[in-house]
Amino acid sequence: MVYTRRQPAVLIMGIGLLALAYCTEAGLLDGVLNYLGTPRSKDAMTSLPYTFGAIGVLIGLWQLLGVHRQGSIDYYSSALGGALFILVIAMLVRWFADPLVAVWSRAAGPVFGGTYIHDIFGLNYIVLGIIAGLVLVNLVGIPSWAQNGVRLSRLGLKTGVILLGTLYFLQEILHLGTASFTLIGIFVLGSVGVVLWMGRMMNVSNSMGGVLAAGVGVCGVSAAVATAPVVRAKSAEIAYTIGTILLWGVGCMFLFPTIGKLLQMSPEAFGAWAGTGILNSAQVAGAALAFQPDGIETLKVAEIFNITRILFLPLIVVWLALWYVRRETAVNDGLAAQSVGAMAVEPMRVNVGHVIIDKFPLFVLGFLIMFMINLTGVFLPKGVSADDLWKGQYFDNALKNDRLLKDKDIEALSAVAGKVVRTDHKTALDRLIANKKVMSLNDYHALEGLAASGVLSKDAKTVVSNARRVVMHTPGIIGWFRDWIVWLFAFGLTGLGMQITMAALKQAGGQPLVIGGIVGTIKAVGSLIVIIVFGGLLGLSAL
Amino acid sequence: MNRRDSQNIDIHTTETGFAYHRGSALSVFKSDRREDIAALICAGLIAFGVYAHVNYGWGFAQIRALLGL
Repeated sequence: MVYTRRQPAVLIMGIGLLALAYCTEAGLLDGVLNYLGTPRSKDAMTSLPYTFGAIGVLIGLWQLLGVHRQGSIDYYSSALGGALFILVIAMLVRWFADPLVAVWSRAAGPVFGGTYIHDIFGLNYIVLGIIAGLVLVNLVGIPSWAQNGVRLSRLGLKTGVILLGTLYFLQEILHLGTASFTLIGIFVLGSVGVVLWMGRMMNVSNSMGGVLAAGVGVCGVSAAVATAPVVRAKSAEIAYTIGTILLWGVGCMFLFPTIGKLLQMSPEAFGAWAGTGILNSAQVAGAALAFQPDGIETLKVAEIFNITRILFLPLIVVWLALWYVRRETAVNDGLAAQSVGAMAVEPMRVNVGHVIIDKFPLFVLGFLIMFMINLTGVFLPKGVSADDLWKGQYFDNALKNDRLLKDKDIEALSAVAGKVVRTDHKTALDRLIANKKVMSLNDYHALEGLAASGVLSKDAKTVVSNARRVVMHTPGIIGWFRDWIVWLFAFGLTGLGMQITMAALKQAGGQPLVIGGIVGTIKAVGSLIVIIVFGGLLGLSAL
Repeated sequence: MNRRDSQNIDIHTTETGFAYHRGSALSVFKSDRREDIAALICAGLIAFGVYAHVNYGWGFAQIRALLGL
């Protein structure tokens, strides 16, 4: 089959993007941008549409005029039109629909106290992108030339997760590691166990129970697909599981951010909850970005929990393989005993090492590689080493004169210097007074302790805080990675919306939905309670 | 269903009448592993591009200058 369609849609999209870029650059859209309150988007609205418009024109011309023969080139190049289609929808939503909804919401006034309706329901570009995709696929339908490419959305999400590795630093991983392994360990293993037990109680087939346990327990669709061959699941059983996960995940994606906002959860606590309680990786990212669309702190925490969960996948697959073999062997032994002389039943064996290597998700390895590369300091500006890093920022005290401490600042510090008792605090303060700036990362930490000790006056505390702030800088490259990651997730989640058809949701009927719903609710509510009650013990800022 | 065909699920076919001969309703790739490798390549290219842009100034402005725009 030749997948490429000879149609002008991709070429038209490319020309449309070039026109958008030109209009933005020429200032023809300034009035619109001012009305929407997004004049700062102008740079992105020029460079991105020019780049992807040019790519769109080239692909469009190739699809329209090229000679297409059945094969891999035709198959993969035909997907590019659909990818551009998702990207155009994501751009329109981010630059126009999202700010427009905010403008309308503010015009309608606050709903609860000072909170606007778009804040309460998290109607940002992520949620609106998913809704746009859902509406398109279910009411209008995805054009046939774009259908192949819509299936690239998960690739965008996985690429985003790998790049996310560049934004973590050792302190963050160590800080979140204990909490994520504890919570995920309890809830993943617990969910798998409960699904298997419920499946047995409700007389669900072993293959159905196994694939549903992986889907509900670990990371949704990928886990269900990875486990399917191990428990010999039929296509219909996988479809039922995927339907259940999608239906539950879509509900959670919209419900979690609203609950999180009503409970006024911190980004860290919400990220931990979403990463533990939501079944599918894509929807974890969707909920995190819906909760905090203007920053990625929530997404970073949610993804650490999500990745910890994915790391459990090979372990769960081995568990389910052993469980399945034991259950089936018991059934076969019973059958063999009943039918003397019947055909011998082939015994099944599990190669644990093979299963672990076969099922380890490589994109998680990619995340870890990016994290390791980041630790080496290669992404840092020249002259800055990994030792200068602290919480994603680096220490650099080469300051211009206007950023050094002023005479009145020195006076405020000198007035309290005599009260400082601890040697490290005193040394750091003396060096600060003498040099009018923080002299090392050790001094930076010592001054943090001094500010928290209660010894300083209010003025001196402000001076120390400002002096510490000006010597820490965010690497420029981090901003670029952050932009790429947000766009990749916007792309992936808009495409995800285009894959949620009513037919897929209807697959969730019957026993899988009952089991998935009960276990999903236990997991969501249980993890919320644990985070609220024990968040402090786990090192999370709970609420 | 073996590892190579681990994504042969097609829950869209009956609704839209569009049949995929490779991959699944959720992915163009034949297996999760292939999709992961493609994601690794994409991430590597993006990381290299960002690194080159920030450290060597490669980017949009240079392409425009090159094309005389």
